[in-house]
Amino acid sequence: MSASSAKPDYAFVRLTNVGKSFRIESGAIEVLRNVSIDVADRQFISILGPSGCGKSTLLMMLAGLEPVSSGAIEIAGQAMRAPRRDVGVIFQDPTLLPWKSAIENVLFPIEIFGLPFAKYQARAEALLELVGIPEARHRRPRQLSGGMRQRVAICRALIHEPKLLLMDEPFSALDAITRDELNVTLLDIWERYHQTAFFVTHSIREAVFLSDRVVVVGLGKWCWMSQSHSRARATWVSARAATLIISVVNYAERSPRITPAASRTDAIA
Amino acid sequence: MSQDLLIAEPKAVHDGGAHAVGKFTRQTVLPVLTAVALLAIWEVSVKIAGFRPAVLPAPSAILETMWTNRDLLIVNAIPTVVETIGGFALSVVFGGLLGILLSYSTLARDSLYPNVILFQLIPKVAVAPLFILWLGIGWESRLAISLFIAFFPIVISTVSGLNTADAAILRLCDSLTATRTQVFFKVRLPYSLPFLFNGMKISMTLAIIGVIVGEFITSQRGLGYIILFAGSRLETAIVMAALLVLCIVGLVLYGLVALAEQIIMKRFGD
Repeated sequence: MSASSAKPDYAFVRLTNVGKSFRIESGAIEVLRNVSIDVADRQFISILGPSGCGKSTLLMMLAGLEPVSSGAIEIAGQAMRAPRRDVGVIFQDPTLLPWKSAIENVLFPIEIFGLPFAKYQARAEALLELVGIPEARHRRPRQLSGGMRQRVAICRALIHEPKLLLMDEPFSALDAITRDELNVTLLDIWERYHQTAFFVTHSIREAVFLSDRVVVVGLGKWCWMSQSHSRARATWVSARAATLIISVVNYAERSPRITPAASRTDAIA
Repeated sequence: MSQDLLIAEPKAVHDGGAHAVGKFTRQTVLPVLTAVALLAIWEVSVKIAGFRPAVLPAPSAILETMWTNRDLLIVNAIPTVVETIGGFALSVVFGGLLGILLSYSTLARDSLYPNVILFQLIPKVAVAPLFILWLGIGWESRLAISLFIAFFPIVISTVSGLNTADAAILRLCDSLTATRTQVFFKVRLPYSLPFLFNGMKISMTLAIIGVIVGEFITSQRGLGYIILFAGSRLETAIVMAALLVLCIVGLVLYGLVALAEQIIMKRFGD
């Protein structure tokens, strides 16, 4: 089946009938079939689903780290075949280099791209300030808490001003309190820079809190719902996925979106 | 979390400080005292039992011999040191290059690696006479024997070290469009450093063995030559004095690698 979605006039990210299967000894496992999603520029979209449903695979394909088996992915009108420099990825683990300080890790993409350090030094410091850990600038990952490390990873994904931000369950390894804090921080950042963002998660709470739009993957079906601030409206194509969506909508109605700036409590800093 | 750190840090330092006193006594004073005691027993028992110097000279006699023959020992220690450093340096270069080749080329790994392992099963000292045959009795064959014995740990440590880079970090590099050269120098090499230094420490001790074996066989100069030559003339005190110099040489060379490790790991450790 295909996920039906309203086609925006200008889709920054366009997935057309994307499919993915992995070859194994006894044949092939199909992970994704006919996924079509159009995402407008500067939209925050969450891909919500249980583990093993292929949502991380979808994100890796968006990052150009996994080839698509069928269909096509277009970013800014160009076919996505290999990683691009205008994309920032935040992985499940912080993936920091242990011998580099926080700020050196933030500047790692700049080092790889061969861009002038001096130009980005101030931006790196501003980003660390924005995520609330300016004092940790010169500390190495070993001296940072899990939440602080993931904050550094967020800064690193943003340092080169990507147009598209991809996040693969970035906070799933963190405790609930840190996780909530980081969600607020992330929203803060997103409201400042407004990149197009894909956020993969299995937490309904997170998806509803962060997104303009939630794509729900459940029971082998893809469908989507959109959400506009405190009022969520859902469109769905699958009766079986409806249960999940209804729970999302209920949740959304009970917890109106918090204004990040007002609710900011940064216990870490 | 940072508050936790602030509380934990001074406590840890204090702990370490209190612990260090006991540790110093146990790990430095105790072994030194044991060594001094053993030397004293040696000295006294030689005096009492009246061993002939050709069988077992007293420690004081060895030190005296070392001093009177200092010119001979220094003149012969120099080639040993130079050739050891040469053999070690060649091992690092060739072992490192072979390790990189085996890590990066599947063809090289599949065709060479089993053979390299098989090669290691040859008792390397037994091959030494071949080098004399091929390269003569000069420094070339001593260097070759040293390289032959010492390069293998470098190969192994390079291969395993270059494979230790975190898979998630390698994926990050892919997502950043990093080139293979960038990944090698900025990620794989730094990750492999602890392995490389371990390999180099082993390699340094083996390089000395290689040079001594070479000196035994070529009988031209060096501490190995002195040991063999003095031994054949029953000048046991000189043999032991040369051994002592060899110990010092080995300690210093090993210490240099360990020092380099400390300096570099301060930058590339975690």
